[in-house]
Amino acid sequence: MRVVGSAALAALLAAVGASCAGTAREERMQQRQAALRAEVADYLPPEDLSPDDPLYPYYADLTAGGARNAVLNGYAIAARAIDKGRYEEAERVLDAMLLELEGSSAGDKAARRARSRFHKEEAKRFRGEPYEQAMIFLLRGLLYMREGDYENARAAFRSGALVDRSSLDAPPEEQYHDDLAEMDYLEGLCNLLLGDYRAEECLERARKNARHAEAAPDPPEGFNTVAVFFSGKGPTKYQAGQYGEILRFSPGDGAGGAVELTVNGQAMAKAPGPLDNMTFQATTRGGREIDGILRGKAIFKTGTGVAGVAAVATGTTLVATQSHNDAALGAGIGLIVAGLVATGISAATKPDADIRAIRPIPDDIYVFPIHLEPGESTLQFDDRGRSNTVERRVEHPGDGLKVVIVWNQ
Amino acid sequence: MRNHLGVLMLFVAAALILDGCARSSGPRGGVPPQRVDPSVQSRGEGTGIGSQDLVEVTDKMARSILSTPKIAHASTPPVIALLPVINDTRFPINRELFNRRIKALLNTQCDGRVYFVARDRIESVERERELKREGLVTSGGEGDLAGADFFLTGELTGLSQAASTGRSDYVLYTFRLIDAETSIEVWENFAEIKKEGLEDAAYR
Repeated sequence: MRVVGSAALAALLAAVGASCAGTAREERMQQRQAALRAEVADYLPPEDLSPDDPLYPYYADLTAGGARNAVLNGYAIAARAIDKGRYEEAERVLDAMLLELEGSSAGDKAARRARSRFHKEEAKRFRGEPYEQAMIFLLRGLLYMREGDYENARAAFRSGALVDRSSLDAPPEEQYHDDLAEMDYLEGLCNLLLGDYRAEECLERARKNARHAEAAPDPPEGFNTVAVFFSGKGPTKYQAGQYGEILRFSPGDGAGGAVELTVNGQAMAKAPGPLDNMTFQATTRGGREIDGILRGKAIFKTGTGVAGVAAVATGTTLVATQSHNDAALGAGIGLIVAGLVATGISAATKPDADIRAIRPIPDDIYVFPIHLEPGESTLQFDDRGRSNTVERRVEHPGDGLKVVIVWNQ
Repeated sequence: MRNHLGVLMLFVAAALILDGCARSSGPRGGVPPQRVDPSVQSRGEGTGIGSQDLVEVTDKMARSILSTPKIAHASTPPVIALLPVINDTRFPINRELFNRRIKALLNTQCDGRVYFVARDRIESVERERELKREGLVTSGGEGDLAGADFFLTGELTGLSQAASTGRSDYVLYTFRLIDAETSIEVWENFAEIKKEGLEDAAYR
């Protein structure tokens, strides 16, 4: 009877517990979703998007990823918003991303977690590698140019150039800093439009840093259009090393070939090669401080793993062979316990490098400042390296600057 | 004995489960939006231009303008027009903020010692004048559109450096009053702010 009573009580408690746990789990999930959404509030449109909207899935990723992946998911939205001509939306999202990039990470708990042995590097809020940050500044600068705000465009290009300087104290053989030619070239174009005497200085720097010197020609007098041509898919990240603790890059598929631009069938401009190449930028940055931390985690993981296995093996041998000796038996059991703890610590150590990456990212970058007649024009980009042609119709209002961004991936 | 122990364990388990239910229903984490002092550095602020810099610089400029002899000892209140501030830094900003705050400070603190012309609303003013002259709306008296005695303008110039040892940004804020007749600069003042920061090693 007593047994039946206890069983009934246990069943009742289990039912109450399961129900409470279910409700609590649901509440926790709702609170978590609300918290993640609040973290990316600056990125979100003023009104909810329809599920039929082409950007809806990207916003869904953004709200699911929260602040940790906001820059990653925000970039996907911004790039697609630009492609669809939704410029204000792209500006809002890019501005939110720039706040993240320009903010201070000092004291950031997520960054501290990423450095700890028991969390992966990807625990930190994604900011991207310098070449990825440069792309964000590049797109924002182009949107400022499109609005005719050449001062803020220039500011964005300068900030973009600065992210590449972070390897200033790298070993001499790794010092390729400050060579984002597209930033120098576009800053030069902004200076020309502003009547700033430093334009030529910037253009000269662009020619010096360009992957092909002739890819940064003197802009034609009275240019009223800037056509930016992104060719190929940029570098991809992968993990190398015993535990995936090393960040490596696979080269992008940019062909680095000549691109000829024709307008309404007339040859307008030609670049024998790209102004810049993102694979080059990704692979010449020099070492990161976090690489040393990840290496340390990997060494710790190996060390604790080896020590754990050795301790368990020694302890087992002692227990098996010295069962008559109490002291040795105790030591053996102690070694087994310590070995298991060390093995557990080793298993919990996470040296994995962060390979989250923004998409889409180009490999080769070309910039063509040209003059278009008012009205509609057809621009044809003949990408010799990829053996294809991309066409874009452009309506020029006659005054102001037109910015055309074309992807060939 | 065993039965007692079993029942005890069941109660402990029940207590733990119910405790979990009670805890999960409360609010978790987060800081609700709250008003903060704009003259205080923002949480997580980088080396860029922040509200603290804006308040500090514009306060200084407004005080300086009011004490300049051309303004302080003018027999009639001088009329000032605003020219856009030039942003020559690496920070995209709303450059109107500086002039707007200086103007608001002068208008609220100088007790009519200077006037500003609302050139940014000139089209509305002209339309209203036309309506008055056509007799379509009442008029309190006609007058000429005021010309500016001085232009107030400024420039933000930056010098930035970055390395894995840290990032530093120096911004020089210069503001000046230009005589609208002679182009002579009757007043100029500056402020300089340098900020340095070191990112968490996870980002270096």
